[in-house]
Amino acid sequence: MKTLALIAGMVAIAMLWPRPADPLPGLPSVFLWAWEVPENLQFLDPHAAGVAFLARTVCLRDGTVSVRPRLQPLRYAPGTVLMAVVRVEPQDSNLPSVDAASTAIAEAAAIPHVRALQVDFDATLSQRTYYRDLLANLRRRVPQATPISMTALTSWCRSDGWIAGLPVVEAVPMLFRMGPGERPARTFRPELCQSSAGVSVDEPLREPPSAARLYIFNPRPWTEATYRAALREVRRWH
Amino acid sequence: MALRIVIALLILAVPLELPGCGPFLPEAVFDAKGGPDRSTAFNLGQFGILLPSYTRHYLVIAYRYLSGVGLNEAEAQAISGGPRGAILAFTSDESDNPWLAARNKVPGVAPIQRIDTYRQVQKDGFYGTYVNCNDDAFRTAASTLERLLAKPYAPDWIAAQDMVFADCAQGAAIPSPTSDPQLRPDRAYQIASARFYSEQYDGARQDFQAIAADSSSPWHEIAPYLAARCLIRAGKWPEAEKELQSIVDNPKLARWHASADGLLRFVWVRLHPRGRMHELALALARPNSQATIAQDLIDYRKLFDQDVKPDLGDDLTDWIICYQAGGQGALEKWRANHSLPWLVAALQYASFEGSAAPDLLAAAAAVKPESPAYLTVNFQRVRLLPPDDARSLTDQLLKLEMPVSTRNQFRAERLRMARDFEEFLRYAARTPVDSDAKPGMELLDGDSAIVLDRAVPLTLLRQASISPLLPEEIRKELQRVVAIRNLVLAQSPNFDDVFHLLHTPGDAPFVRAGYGRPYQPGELGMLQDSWWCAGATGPVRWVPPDQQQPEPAANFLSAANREEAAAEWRKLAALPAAPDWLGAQAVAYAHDHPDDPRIPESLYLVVRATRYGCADAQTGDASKRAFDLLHRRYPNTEWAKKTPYWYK
Repeated sequence: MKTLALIAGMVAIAMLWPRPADPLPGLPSVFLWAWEVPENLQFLDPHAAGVAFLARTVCLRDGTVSVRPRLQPLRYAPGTVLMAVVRVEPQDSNLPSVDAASTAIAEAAAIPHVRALQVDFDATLSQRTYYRDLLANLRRRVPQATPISMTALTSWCRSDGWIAGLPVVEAVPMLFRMGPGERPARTFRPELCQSSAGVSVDEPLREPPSAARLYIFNPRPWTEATYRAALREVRRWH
Repeated sequence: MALRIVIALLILAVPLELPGCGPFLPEAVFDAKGGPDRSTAFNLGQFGILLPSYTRHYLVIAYRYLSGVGLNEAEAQAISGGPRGAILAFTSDESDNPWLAARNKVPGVAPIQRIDTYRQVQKDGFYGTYVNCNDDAFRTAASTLERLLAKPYAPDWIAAQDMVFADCAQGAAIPSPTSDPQLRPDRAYQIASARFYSEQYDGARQDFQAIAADSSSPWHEIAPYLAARCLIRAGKWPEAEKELQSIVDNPKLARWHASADGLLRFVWVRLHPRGRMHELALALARPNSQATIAQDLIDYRKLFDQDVKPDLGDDLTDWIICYQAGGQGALEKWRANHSLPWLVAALQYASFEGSAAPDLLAAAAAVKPESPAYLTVNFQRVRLLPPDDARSLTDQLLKLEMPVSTRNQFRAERLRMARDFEEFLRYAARTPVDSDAKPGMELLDGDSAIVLDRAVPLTLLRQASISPLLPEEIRKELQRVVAIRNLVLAQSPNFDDVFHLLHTPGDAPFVRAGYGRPYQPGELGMLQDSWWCAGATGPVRWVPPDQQQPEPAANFLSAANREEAAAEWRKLAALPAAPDWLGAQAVAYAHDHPDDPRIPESLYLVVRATRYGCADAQTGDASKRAFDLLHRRYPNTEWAKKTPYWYK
């Protein structure tokens, strides 16, 4: 009887224990990353998954900004939740003003039907201050109703504290194409890294990530079969 | 329908893949799978091994050479841009836009820095961007400015032209009609152009038709062609075909015949895909096709990619399908026509186990060295002949000039047939062909690295590390591996060597293929790979699961060699992650030799290794143990001051 009471107590505590609020409330718990290939995602159920699509690449070179728009068509079922992903690529050490780079990124948030913005910038150690300033500037520039997400190298979420306090709602650790010998972790300590994780359909994980929201990468164009298989796997995890 | 056209334009205009997310680690490529090392040599018929994985651009060229048609100089020049053609600029600024360069020089006109030439498609269910304003438009505007510059209405015209080009990216600003009779024809053209760029194709078409009917307009000759372009942008294919055909048939519009003909072909691909694919296949196999070969290749590949089946069979398409699928059925085809393309395909399908047909092998042996198929058929012969014959043939072939990728592939075959360790070492090094390769560089590929890493015992590895059969850089790398393997396999590791290893991030007891770590030896990296991982995960190179090769047999090794290597490998595989192992060694030594002056530094270095090295579940403990000992026993040393944190 005591054991039963103890179990009931633990269950009650677990249920009442405050959970971190969803940083992207109302948005699907699965996003398919749609990179720079022609994608036809009309098979996707808008209630089951959203699309985080590469909208543009912002190149930083010689102190100036140039924008390469997405050049491959993206089709999706009307009503699908869209997240615009902006890839930032510094091509030399002469970085342009934060204002100029931020303007180019922010334009993606104005794409019709886009509900959130994700920044993908593999900042090196020396670019971290710049990245921090860039995100702060971006947060001021983009309407408050548009959440800003960022992708993160797993090292940022594991052993680096530098992302703490960045003005984003989540940092998505990319648990694929990792460094030699690195093994994906299931959980991460920084709060920003806890709610989401990025996985790839071609790299099976030893342990499912504990994150509530998953971004799924596919090195090839998505097909309905791959999408269904990925969704089945995700449901098995959660 | 207009949307479909935009999509078609998008797909045609841009490369299919652009880089994804990084970090982009240099990956050594030893045989390029998608195409030849040098397309210029390939276009001259100087082939290496023709791989079925080559893009169809190269397979078409190969077919032409194998069937005796080849490419003349003009044809080779026409397709010299390769399968992807030119990469388009993102935006257009003064340095590459003749219009901006010209208008910004006009006194009193405020300069414009750049024009965005892409326009977004705004529609629920679709997102895309396409090149709306092409280079021709800017060249035409620049030459018109030259004509009008001295006119009093030039500023008015420039302002209107700025409005036209603003529509390239967004909006629908249309210049107002003018009351100036001299400016009127140019303004009419500006209005039509603005409607065109702002996707008002019906209105633009009416405007261009009106201009065509006005013989006093300097634009009346080009206007019918532009009216037809409106139909294309609007996706009205049959009407566009009819109108373009009428331009091509009109001798008075001879100046626009070539452009209209190009657009007509563009329309045919969409309107009659099956028939067009058949026509293209026949055209691509014809000699003297310099005028059309470049566009025909693009259109043919597009239709192929869309899985269009030509309405009539043709040899080129059949051959490409068969060759890319492994050559099944090619033997019968070759026996029927005895052509070189089908011989190459039939050899690809033949297997040693199935004992290749004697007539096929005899035909392959009869291919002359000057044939573009020579290296390809002999590569297959190497695969199909008994080992002694194959070895001797490979040795002969390797004396010839050949592309680097091809040499690497023959060396890989020769390595597979090595009879002793010396032969193995002789063919172990390869020359990378990727963009990170430096002249004269030689590296280990996966096939040799995995044997050296896992299949040979330390005694042979040591022999390899001093063998003149290997390039110096590889020898040096192997010497480091041998030294560390000696250390970690020893019963009582020597602290001098442990201390040295703590100073040399990147060193590991494993043989790496390719470029290895993207850092200089001894340099700390940000990828947590400065010290190795648990579980012996080398050779370190990420390979997608579907491309992983099975471990080679290394038949030259004796049973004793294999047993010795397996025993060593079991010990290596049981090692913890390097930072844990180094920490255990340093802490144990510190307890036994507390007065050794190197101890504080070694503890500092252990903590550093736990930060920059590969970690496992125990690394945090190792880091904390070293940290605690350092601060407890040596708190006033510079090393303790340099160690404010431990890592997990």
